[in-house]
Amino acid sequence: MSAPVPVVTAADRRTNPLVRFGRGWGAELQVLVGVVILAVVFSFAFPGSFATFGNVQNMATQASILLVITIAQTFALLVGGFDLSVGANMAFASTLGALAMTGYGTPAPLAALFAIGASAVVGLANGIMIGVLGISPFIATLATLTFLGGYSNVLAGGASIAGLPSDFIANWGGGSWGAVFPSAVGLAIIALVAAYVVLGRSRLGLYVFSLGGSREAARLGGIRVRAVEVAAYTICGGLAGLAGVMLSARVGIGQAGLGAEYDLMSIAAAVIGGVAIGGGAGRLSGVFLGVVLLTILSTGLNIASVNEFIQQMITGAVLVAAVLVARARGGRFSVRLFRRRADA
Amino acid sequence: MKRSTVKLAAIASLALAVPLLAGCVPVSKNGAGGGSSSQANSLHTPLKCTTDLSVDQLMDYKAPKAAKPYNITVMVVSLAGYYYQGLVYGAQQAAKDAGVNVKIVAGDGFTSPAPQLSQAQDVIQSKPDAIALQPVDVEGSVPIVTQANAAGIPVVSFGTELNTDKTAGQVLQDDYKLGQAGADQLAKAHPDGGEGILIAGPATATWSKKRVAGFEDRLKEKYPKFKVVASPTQAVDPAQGLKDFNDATQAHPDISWVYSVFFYQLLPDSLPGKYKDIPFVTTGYEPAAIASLESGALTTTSSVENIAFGYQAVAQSVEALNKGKDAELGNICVPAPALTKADIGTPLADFDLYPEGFSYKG
Repeated sequence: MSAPVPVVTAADRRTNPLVRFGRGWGAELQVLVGVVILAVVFSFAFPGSFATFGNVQNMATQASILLVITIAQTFALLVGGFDLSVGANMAFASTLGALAMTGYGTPAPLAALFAIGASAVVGLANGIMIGVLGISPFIATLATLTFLGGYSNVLAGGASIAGLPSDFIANWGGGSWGAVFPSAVGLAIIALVAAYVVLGRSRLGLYVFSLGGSREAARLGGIRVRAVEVAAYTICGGLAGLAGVMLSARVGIGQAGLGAEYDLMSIAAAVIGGVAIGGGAGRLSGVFLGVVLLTILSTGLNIASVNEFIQQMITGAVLVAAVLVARARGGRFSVRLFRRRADA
Repeated sequence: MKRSTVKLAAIASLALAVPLLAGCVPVSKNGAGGGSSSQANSLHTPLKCTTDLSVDQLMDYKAPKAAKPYNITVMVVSLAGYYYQGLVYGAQQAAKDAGVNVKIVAGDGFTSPAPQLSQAQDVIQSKPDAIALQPVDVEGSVPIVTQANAAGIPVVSFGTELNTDKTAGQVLQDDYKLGQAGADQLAKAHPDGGEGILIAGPATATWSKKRVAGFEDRLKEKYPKFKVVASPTQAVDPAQGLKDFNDATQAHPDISWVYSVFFYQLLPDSLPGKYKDIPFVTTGYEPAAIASLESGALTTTSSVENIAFGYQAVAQSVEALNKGKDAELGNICVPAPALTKADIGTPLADFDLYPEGFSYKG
């Protein structure tokens, strides 16, 4: 994955690899510090319930779905947009997959792939609206969100779809592979690796960052801007479909209302992890840490039985703080930190 | 002042603001915000019913024949979900039996009264003979009744209480008694007692708060061996419910029962393996709940009589219109029978189901 090129002065180059490291990894370091602080605080406050292997498994399973949807959102953010319809797209995939399995007897893997494919088509539609027709991401994805909310309910007849096959539930997010490895975690890892290959090792990834960095420069550089934008939103849609399938397997039903809260949570996790709103910058490592931070925060607050309203206030404050810290640092925080240590 | 100093000051102020603001909010254990003490007291009080229908009376009830083909608008909060589809089905059946025209107006699941009021104002403009209203909020939906009455349109509310005596009637289920019944069902299924989790609904929803109040009061009164160790609130979202359940069991791994105020707050079949066999009591009977009863994941559920609600809403509207101006039907209370696996397929249980294939899309 491409990182924003760190500004390294001649003095830095002479002095300290840590300084250069700090500049390049400033965003992730600060989120990591936040993660460690939260983990330590909750572990000390609730040693018997937070700091247990069972809870780590619990958080890993919960974080998996958020990670997949945040990776999806990252693609949209990197090209300078965002996707408000990811939650509705998750519900759409959940409904389609469930209908395919229960209504038509489609085998679980085919039904899941069908649902993911359909969500990718939704992403394609978003990409065409934004990249080709020039509609703003806010309007285009809001329209998609609204449309899908109704359409999913039309498909489902306004009801939830139960009776999903046990192999679907076990293998697509609700159980384990080989009764050992949580399938949700496995799917999230696959999505993360695939995203890394695309963003960090492929020409498309390079173009995605270039487009987000400067649309005009990318166009002048010969990049097919519209095609790249359409591709990014299509990938976003497909990953949202995967997240929807995973959520469906986790709760055991298909439902047109599943995933409603993931629209904004995915943006929050990505931004906390250093993905720039406006595009062009961000790392999957940061996305991962942003997801971990939000998961630890919400799990810790739940274990602490903090009132739901207070949780919302705290989460909002953490989001603002993360963005302010990100702006204040500009690499300077980590440079100062390591330079001080190096000079000591 | 340096920009960096200003930024640090802003961050510090924000950091202080959150705990200060949080400390200013008086909250109860189950997440209900501070409110008037009269509101808190009413959560712990059963409904006063003018007519208390028994199960047999409800099942045998037939809508009265309308004096003329009235136009009745039924306002429901949403069409998304078996519960709401059941309301609509019941309303349409009553319209057929009574010989009236029914128009369904649905929201998109709004949880605040303002959008419902806007919708109601549009409905009033179309001048129906009566409105059957499913209110969003016990206080916030009162202006709908006031404005409808001012336009000469009687209102029969159903589903959720409305804090006004200006309706032509209210068709209600006593959520407090539902909560009490949940405690009784739990005690019957699990006489040993022990620690358990209460999955509450939206923190601001009266129906949920009353069920929680009824459940907890009953446990205190009759079943001291039961202890609620966690009672998270959330929207009606099975994924969020599962997350809250899993988080709560990290702190309390030895729970031996679950009570959920509504079936879709937490799906019994989604519980992790360790908890699959513990007693699970909830409300709501529909195909997904039937599957849970059959699998054994769900122990007992109480009927929320969604079809009967829709039926009664239209039927009582016809009753009010037939009686004329100033009809006062009072509170018509609908029962909430308990249903277990043994009841699947019985007339009592099937009374809660609409025909397979029925779907109202608007």
